[in-house]
Amino acid sequence: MKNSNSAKTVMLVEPEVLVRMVIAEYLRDCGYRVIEGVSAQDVWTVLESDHRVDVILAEVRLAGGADGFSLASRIRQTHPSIDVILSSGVAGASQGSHELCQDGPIKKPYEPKDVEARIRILLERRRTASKA
Amino acid sequence: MEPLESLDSETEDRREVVLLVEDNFQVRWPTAEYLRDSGYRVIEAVSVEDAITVLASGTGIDVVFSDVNLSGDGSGEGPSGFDLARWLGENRPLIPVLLTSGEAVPRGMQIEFLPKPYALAEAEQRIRQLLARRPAR
Repeated sequence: MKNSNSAKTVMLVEPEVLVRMVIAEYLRDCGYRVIEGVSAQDVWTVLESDHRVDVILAEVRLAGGADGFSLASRIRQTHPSIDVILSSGVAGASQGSHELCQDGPIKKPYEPKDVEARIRILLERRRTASKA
Repeated sequence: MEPLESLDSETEDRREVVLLVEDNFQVRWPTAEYLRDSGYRVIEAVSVEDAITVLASGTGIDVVFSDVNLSGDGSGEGPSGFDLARWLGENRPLIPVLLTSGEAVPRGMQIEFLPKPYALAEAEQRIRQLLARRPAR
């Protein structure tokens, strides 16, 4: 079943670059095509282009005006066939990505639990670097 | 802390890594997709701050492809692709950078430049050329 995700597209809406980078890569390693956005507007751009989107994984706090809650409620009205997973913070984004990747990554030997740890290491490195 | 498999396994991935810096989603999305389909690993950033965050995180980057006007609203305010190129020159001089803009480059500036709008195939070709020209590591 590991290739069952291969044709599916996840739109990942996450303004924090290091979180987005790690989660997007993890989902790609799980076989998804991943479109990366930072705002609700980015989601509408994709949906209006008629590009296929199967799942939207969105952080509650987004760039731009609308937050994840209002984005999710609008999508449920306009595109009820698209699953929306809302997440909050690093743990939430990590949990959301694991829900989408229950069989684990296809190519790499890392455990789902490492995704969150990896983001935390990167965020810690940034804090250290900005003090230097 | 124990090193994580996820960090170690990054070195096994032989794809070259492009840091794509573009605030306009309608440009960034197709460019990122095209470069991934061409075999690159692509990290997407929307600002100079994001780009430097990624570079400073220790993530291996082989080439930077950046828009010049990164103000987010087209106002031209805030750090630009030129500022990012300067930061790279001072901090990561071995990473090649390709800038793109709808406006001309100031005369006399020594920079790899691709005018907008660009054909995706042309962008990929320029990136490939920059990578091929790197000194052997």
